[in-house]
Amino acid sequence: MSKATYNAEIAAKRWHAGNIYEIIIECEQLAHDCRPGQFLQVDCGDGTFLRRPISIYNVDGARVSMIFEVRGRGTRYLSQLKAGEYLNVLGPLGNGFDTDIDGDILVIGGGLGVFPLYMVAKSKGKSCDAVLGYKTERVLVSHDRFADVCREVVITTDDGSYGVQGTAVAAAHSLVVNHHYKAIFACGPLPMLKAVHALACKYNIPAWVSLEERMACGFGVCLACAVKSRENEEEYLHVCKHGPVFNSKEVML
Amino acid sequence: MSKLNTAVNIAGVEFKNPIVTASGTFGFGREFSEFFDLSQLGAVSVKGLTLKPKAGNPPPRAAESASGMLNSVGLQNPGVESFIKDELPFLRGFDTKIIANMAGNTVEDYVEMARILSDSDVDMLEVNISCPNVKEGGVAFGVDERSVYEVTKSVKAVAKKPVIIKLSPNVTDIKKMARAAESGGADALSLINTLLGMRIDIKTRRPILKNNTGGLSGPAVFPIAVRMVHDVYETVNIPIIGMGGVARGEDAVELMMAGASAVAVGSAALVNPLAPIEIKRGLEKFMEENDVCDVTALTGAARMW
Ligand SMILES: Cc1cc2nc3c(=O)[nH]c(=O)nc-3n(C[C@H](O)[C@H](O)[C@H](O)COP(=O)(O)OP(=O)(O)OC[C@H]3O[C@@H](n4cnc5c(N)ncnc54)[C@H](O)[C@@H]3O)c2cc1C
Ligand SMILES: Cc1cc2nc3c(=O)[nH]c(=O)nc-3n(C[C@H](O)[C@H](O)[C@H](O)COP(=O)(O)O)c2cc1C
Ligand code: FES
Repeated sequence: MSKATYNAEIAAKRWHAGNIYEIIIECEQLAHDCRPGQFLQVDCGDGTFLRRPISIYNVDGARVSMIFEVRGRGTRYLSQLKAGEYLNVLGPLGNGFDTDIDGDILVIGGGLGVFPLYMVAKSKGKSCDAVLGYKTERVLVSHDRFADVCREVVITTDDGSYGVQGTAVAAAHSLVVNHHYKAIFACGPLPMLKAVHALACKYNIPAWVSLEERMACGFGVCLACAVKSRENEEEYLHVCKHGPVFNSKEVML
Repeated sequence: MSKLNTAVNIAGVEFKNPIVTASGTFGFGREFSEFFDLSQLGAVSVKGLTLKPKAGNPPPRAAESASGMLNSVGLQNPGVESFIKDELPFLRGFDTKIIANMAGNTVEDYVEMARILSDSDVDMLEVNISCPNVKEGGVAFGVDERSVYEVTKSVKAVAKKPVIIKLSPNVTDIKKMARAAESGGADALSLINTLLGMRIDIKTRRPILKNNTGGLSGPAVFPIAVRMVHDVYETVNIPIIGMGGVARGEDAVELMMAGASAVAVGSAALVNPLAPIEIKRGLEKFMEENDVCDVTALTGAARMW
């Protein structure tokens, strides 16, 4: 089985911090099929028409979890669901991170971009270092779980309220200088991904970045989620089908 | 109950059932074939083709609205030659009818594509004179009776396959356009294409779509589709493929009662890839429960007050 729609029971819903929640669904087949970096198209109830793309945060046995921030109508609906209710999801979608790479890797996450990297960190274990950038201490979510699996975890906050003050990419710089990473995997806001691309180019390390774009279908038919190819400016690639994970050299960031 | 007849005949082409996938929401079938067997469909209409490959509009290309969505994809497609070489053989592997949807800048573009596609293995041609998202999407043709007539006539002069003219709802009187297409020799009509709309992000004070405007589709447009299909049905004598907001079997029944001979499913399939099959089953269920043995009996069955 690959992609499919599932009506999955909600095993738990948790509040983490600020507007950030985690929703855990029970779905054996989906749990079996999910790869790090893939996402789901989540039905957000009668008040919405389109599904919402949310990355897979973790797979644990038959359980699949997502961490999301309340932004608008759809994510608010998700934040109000309760254990025992059902959630309709379509997935797993997109191409995830290629974790088969031999050697050490670095993951760089910024804000909500931290969460899609957890499965990567978990699968690479002690051959993975992580730099996780947050706005402020109050919204630190999931950093301890990275610490449980990774070799080294550096936390940055914009305001210096926790860890190193500054951006995740600035902190990543010193790690890159002192290690021989075979690849960088990154997810976060666009300016951060641009900085990751620059860093990767400077030290000649391949970087894979996970992108966001507005979607309708999420499975490659509507052509909504376009991102310009770097090789051929006349061509668009599609986040849901060719991505969401791209080599940073493939796409115009 | 005895066996149901679900087959419909559209301009000499027999669809095993009236359910069609709408152009632009189906790609070229590969993705949907992962969800269900495409041979279950009456016909498929492929992504709008242009003579040369087309990159489409800059993103964002999609925005949500109440019970629907706006899109401004802008006819991104690999071009008609690549379609025939790289996509058509795959689709031909299924037992369903194939409708090639085409859009052009000029009458000559349409004629040239009709020539090329007539020599290919598609079953029907659908002339999109109603894409609101690109200047050359044909919309200029679709809102003027004389142009509708001219494009239809020119395409018909070279086409060796039945020609469907896809009408725009962005007109004051769709009946006039329908009549113009019929007098130009159209074998069938399809309607409705999307309605021109816009959404603005109130935080940034910018339209959500990079193209500013886009085409509205989904359940929000369904009542407009029902009304327009009805109006056109009363006006012309050629079959209609109805579309616009169909999301459930009952919607397909309703659009057929308004006058459609077949029904296309677009946006609904973007949120539920199994929608075309569920709609087909819903239609059959309605037939069983209401003693309708022949699906063609539904077409135009609504009686006006
Ligand atoms: C591949 C992918 C993975 C994502 N993973 C996560 C995740 O793990 N956690 C998380 O919190 N968020 C994630 N997002 C962003 C999330 O999809 C949006 O925050 C969410 O769609 C907002 O929906 P809403 O109804 O709450 O907001 P509204 O603003 O009401 O949404 C209106 C429309 O805009 C779309 N939209 C709004 N913001 C975005 C955005 N940033 N990206 C794409 N579409 C958007 C919505 O999908 C919807 O169609 C991801 C986006 C993509 C493309
Ligand atoms: C993303 C998207 C792309 C579309 N592309 C095309 C196209 O290339 N050619 C065309 O004739 N119609 C196109 N349409 C219009 C649909 O075929 C259909 O007429 C319209 O969406 C109404 O049906 P619906 O409400 O079921 O989606 C597109 C619609 C959508 C949503
Ligand atoms: S969202 Fe439809 S193609 Fe990517």
